Amino acid sequence: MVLLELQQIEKKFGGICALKGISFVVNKNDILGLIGPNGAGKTTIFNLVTRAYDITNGLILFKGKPINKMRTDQIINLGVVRTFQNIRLFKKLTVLDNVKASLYHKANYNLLDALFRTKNYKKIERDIDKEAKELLREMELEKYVGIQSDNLPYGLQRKLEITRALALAPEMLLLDEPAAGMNPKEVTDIIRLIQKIYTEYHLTMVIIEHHMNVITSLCNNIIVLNFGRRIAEGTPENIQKDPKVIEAYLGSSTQKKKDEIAYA
Amino acid sequence: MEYFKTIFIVASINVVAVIGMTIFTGFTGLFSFGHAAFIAIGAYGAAILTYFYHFPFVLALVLGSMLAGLVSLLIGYPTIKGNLGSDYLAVALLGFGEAVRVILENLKITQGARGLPGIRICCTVPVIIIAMIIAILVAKHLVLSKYGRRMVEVREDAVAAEMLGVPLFKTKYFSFFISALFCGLSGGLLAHYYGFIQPAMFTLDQSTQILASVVCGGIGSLTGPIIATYIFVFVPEIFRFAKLWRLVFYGSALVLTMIFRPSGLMGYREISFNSLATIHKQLSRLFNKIVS
Repeated sequence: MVLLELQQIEKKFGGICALKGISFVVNKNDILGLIGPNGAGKTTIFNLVTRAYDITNGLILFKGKPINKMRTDQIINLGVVRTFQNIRLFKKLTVLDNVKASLYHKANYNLLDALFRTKNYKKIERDIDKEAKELLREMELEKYVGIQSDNLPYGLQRKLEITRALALAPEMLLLDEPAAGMNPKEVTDIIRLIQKIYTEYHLTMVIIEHHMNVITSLCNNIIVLNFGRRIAEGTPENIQKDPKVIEAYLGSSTQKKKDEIAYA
Repeated sequence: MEYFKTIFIVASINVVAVIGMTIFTGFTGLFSFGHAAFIAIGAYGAAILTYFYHFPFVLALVLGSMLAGLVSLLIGYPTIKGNLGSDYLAVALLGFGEAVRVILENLKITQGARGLPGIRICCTVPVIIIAMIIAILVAKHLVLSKYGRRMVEVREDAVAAEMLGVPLFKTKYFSFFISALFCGLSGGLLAHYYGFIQPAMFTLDQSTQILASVVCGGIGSLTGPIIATYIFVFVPEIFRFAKLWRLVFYGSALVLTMIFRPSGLMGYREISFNSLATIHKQLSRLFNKIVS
């Protein structure tokens, strides 16, 4: 079943074309890897899907419904949730409050309930508290419940951000460089974590990553972008051998020589 | 005694406005130099109702603050929808505040710059205490509910909040509306305490003063700004002999807070019975140490 479909996406920032003619589909329970050199437009795709940016041209469909005109909170309601490349926790709030922040999304009591502290309000608040603590226990973060989140070590902050995204009960999780800035041990931990949540929560994921071992050990399909265009798609083995990909990352030897001659 | 009563009432009227401002600035993280306008609208709204139309005091208070809330919805739509950066929003609201003052000076029903004299004086100590308790309770319950948490999330990181499904505009708009309601209520109380209002009472100074109370009292705290408000009213009274130099006090208090306690007196914390107990415990431990 096709979950997310991008049709001929184009995004321009003024005169700069950040993405052009990008189309791909993500099937249910797929893990798609998005790779490419810096500035290739990977994060822009996430920003378009969650409508942090408006699309210039093209169509984004989630379960067959166009979502590129919806508000961000409506898209989240449909079950598309993302994390950020540079961790964006609520730094001054505790670990627990960070997770609760996502759970309040579906707290359905109204203003009067809140002002008069009705039974309904108390019940929902209690449930949210319980649910948040349960989720933290599952993610092995229960030790840090009351700690201000920016006091956590980097790896755990990443984990907390993923926990917070999970609290929104997504169907599709967009992970933007989950292993950025991590040491080899933390990288293996995060791979294990992503695998765990993938199977436990029946997720469909798109992962942007520069660490190739994350991509190769998790993704069954990879799309390579360069300068806003798709240059290759395929399984990890095929991608590694693709001459276009090697050229995008390392530059072509013949081109380099020509340049040198031109400068001379 | 009468003297202290006066100071207490004036400070408490300010507290009501400051609580509104706390929700807007302290919890939602938006700044405004124009909230005196809402105090003015509340004051004039309530005063005109009791003065010309002989409305009962409490009803007039409520309607006055509703009027301030309504105006906030009108001015809030373009300014907050426009997603102005925090400082631009503050300046836009500064303009709004001055505009309201000029409008009040030129309307017939407000009697222009002459002001409204002889308003019924109904704001006594019990009235102001009840109003203050209601304001504090409403604010406290709001802040601890999903509405308040959303505001805090917007303050901490608007982008992340949006990605967790917090409706940015609605949250900011709502917080602006609530702050205007409180300021309007404070204005109504003010009018019925002094018995006289004129546009010159609602200048930038007033806006700055409530903003200063919030910032010095502490962002993200309810009790801090309340304490700061009392300090800001009582301390200048103690230094009355210093005359105009007292104004320097405000400026230096702000600067000193920024240098030594950037998060304010009680930033991100509240005074509760629990915290008082821990303070007591620490003090007695210290005392024991000194004795032994």
